[in-house]
Amino acid sequence: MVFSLIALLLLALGGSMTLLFATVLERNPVMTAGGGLGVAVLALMFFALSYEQPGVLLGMYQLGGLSAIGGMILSLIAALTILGVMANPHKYRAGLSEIYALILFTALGGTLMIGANNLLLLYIGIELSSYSTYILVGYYRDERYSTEAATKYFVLGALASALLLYGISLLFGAGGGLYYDQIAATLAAADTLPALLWPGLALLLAGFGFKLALVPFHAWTPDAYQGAPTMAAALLSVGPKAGAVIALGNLLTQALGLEAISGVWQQALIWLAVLTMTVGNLQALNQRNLKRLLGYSSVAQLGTIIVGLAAGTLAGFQAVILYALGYAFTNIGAFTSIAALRDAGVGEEVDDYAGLGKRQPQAALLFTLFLLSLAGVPLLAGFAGKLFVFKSAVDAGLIVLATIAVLNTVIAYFYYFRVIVKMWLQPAADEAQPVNVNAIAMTALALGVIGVLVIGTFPGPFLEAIATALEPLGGLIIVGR
Amino acid sequence: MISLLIFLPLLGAALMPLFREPKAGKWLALLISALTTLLSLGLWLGYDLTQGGFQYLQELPWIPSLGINYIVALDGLSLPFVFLTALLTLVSVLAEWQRDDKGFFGMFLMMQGALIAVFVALDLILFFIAFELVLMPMFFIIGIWGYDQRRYAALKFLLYSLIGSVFLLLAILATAFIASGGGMISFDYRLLLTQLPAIAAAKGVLLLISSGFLVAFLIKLPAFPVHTWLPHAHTQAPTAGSILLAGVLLKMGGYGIIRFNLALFPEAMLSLQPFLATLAVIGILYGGYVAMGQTDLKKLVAYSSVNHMGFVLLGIASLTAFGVGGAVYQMVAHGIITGLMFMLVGMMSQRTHTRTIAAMKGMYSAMPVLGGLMWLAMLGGAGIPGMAGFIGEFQALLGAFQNPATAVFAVLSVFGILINGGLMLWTIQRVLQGEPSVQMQENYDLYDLKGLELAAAAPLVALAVLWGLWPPSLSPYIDRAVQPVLELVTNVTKVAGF
Repeated sequence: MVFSLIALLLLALGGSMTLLFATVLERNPVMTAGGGLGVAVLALMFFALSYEQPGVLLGMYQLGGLSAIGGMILSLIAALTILGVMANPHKYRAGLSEIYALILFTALGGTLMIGANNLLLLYIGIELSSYSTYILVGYYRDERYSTEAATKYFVLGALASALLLYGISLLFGAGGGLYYDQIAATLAAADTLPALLWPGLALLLAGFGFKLALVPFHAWTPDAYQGAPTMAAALLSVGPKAGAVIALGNLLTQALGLEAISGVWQQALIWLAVLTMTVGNLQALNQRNLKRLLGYSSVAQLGTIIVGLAAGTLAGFQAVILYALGYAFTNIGAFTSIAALRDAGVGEEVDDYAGLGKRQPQAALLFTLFLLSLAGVPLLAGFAGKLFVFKSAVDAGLIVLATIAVLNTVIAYFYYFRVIVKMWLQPAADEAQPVNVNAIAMTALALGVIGVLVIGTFPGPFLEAIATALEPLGGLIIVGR
Repeated sequence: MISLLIFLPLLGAALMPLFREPKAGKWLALLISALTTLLSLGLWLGYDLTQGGFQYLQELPWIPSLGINYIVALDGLSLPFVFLTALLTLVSVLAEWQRDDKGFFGMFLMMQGALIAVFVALDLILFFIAFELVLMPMFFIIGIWGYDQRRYAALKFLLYSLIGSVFLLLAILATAFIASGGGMISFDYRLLLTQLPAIAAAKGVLLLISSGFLVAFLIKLPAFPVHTWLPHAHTQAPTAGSILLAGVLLKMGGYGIIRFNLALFPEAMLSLQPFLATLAVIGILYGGYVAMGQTDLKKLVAYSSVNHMGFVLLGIASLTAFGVGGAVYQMVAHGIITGLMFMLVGMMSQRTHTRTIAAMKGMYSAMPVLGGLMWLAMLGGAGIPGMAGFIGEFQALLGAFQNPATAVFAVLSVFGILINGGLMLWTIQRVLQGEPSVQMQENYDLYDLKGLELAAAAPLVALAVLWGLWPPSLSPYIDRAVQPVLELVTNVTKVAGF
């Protein structure tokens, strides 16, 4: 109980203090960054300590177990993002301390949604992380693309929030309460399921669909990614999504785990997954801008994660969380590479990466490893996540879904390898010079690669920890079909 | 011990970027490949033939909660391939000694580790990971160090293999799930072998699942009509890449079919027998025929591989002890002989600056040692008695004749031997005989093999002859491993009322 509280307070107060003393802190950027990083790392440690201390905070927030794991993932995401920002803080002209505060708030929001036991707290968590990222996307306020990206993201995000809230209100009506266990109990006791439940569920899934950028709710993604500052895109691609996907799994299994209902959301998730993977991958094929390419790739990746939820089993949920962890390391790493190379004078178009293997072999090697992990090459985190997600789908009898998912990885290979081919197999343009990458950025990249390799080669301990955390949910999850 | 064979090369590859001196890379690669060659030879000699089965077993928990473990062992089927992998890596390093690129040699070490892991893995997920991991270094070897169209060839190689792999992964997951029968899922090959009735009971999906395995392996082999990646990959790859590609990478296909399709899905193999035999015959005839039309010497050798691999598939499809044993023998022989052939073609084209057959005339008179070895390799490729290729082809054909169901395919394949023999003799005539053109003599320095190049060729020549003249040094090991697999198949045939 104590440790979770400390961790949550660290994120909340750390963020608030950085905001409050922004003007003072601005004079000493190194200390500010160090403070932000310190808060994130400390929060990570306290979440880790709280893992074995289950409890409930104010009746609506689960402590320990799953929420500790979620907190760790989110704090990790915050720490890696802050490290990426630190590599070149001067480009965030709209104020430096605020950016750290917003990153911490995004992590806090994600943690709140994962641990939430109550629909309103879930909503608050989602909004907290959404609002933080709205601002971060528009952080280059004097740049047209950044502002446009933020506007698009905000308008669609607000729509999504409205859908979510409407869905929550219907679910409140159908379930007779805001607490997950309350809803589950009411629905289980009802002779016939209330009709209100279905529109509520649909609106809820649509809302989550927007937040997770699932097809057909993904239209905002590529523009937001391309226009946003690269590190904001990095955070956007993993932070709110890791939070939302675990929160969605938690909500569906704990509140709506009844077999009559789970069949419906499983079916919906299957279709969302198929559409998201296929459309995301196909659209990524022809992208010339790397950030857009990674934007569509993250759409497709989320589709693959959803396969694990669609399986509707404990193993599937377990795979989803491991996938999210590996994906956090991988995608932040990929975006940090782009940001660092951009600072070193390499453009963001795929063509600008020609011959990078010769011009900057170290950074090119690390970026390649991130891309290989995204593609799902064995012994890297991306493969472990995919393997377990596919395994859970096959074990749940969803062979067709699994087949579509693995075929999608072939498409995905194609565009990830297009970048790799550019870097290693094509000569640099004539005037291309060697590239010098900032030492902090290289440290961030190296940390990312270590994470990718550790999760990829030894996923066992992580899986066990996740499985233990999921055990309390066991009874509420409908196994197999 | 086996793990040393996997992780020593991988460690070497990981250390490669740390060297500042580019030359240090090849010395490290030489050291490690020589060590692993000796070690694998030691394991072979230490294998207890009377006991048979899996030996040198090593088992470590990896992801036990999901039934995925690190299990490696050697049997008579994997021994020759493990040795071949180590030896051909050594030969490749020697053949490319003029390079000073540490990345290049790092890729070779990585590939060696992954390849050995493919042949020794007894956990299906471990096998899959190794199977996939082989792709990466080969992709870069072709793509970075290859000839003009290397990017196209590398991507084609990657995507073809990948399509096979994804079906393989699905099939592996489904097999383990079915075999578990609702209980604890395990990917342990030995455990799956005890669950054969449970697998066979899944009648509806059995064919589908076994096809998943088969697709991946047929693409690798390669069999007609999914062979089209091979000529490109071979012609564009650097010499050492071609040696390993032909010598070992293709063997993953044949090895996989015997290890997994034959052992886990004997019934499905039985029903697919005519289909596989047809593919085999098409590969034999068509591969030889297309090879005839090639103007590029390297491409010619590549297409002749399609012909040779056809015999491998025919032997397996016969489902007889002779046939399957012959298929393995043929794979080993092809690895040695075609590896030698690619190496010699590489050395020849390095000197003549061309690979066009028409431009290379009289190579024997210009470079007697190189030409003489080429002569030997070509005859070996034609399958003359006294060299390893003969034993394999003969056994595979004999096996196919023995089984009435495949006898007609064997008759057709005999024409393939004719085509292939003619092809090789015609190539000898065009490339080796006569006198080199004046223009070539004036422009290029046609020096004969140097000491190091001879050292690279020597073990391959020796083995091609040894295994041609003295099969007992190889075939008992193969038979020891193939017999139990075929017992599974005969059990099925008995049940099916043959």
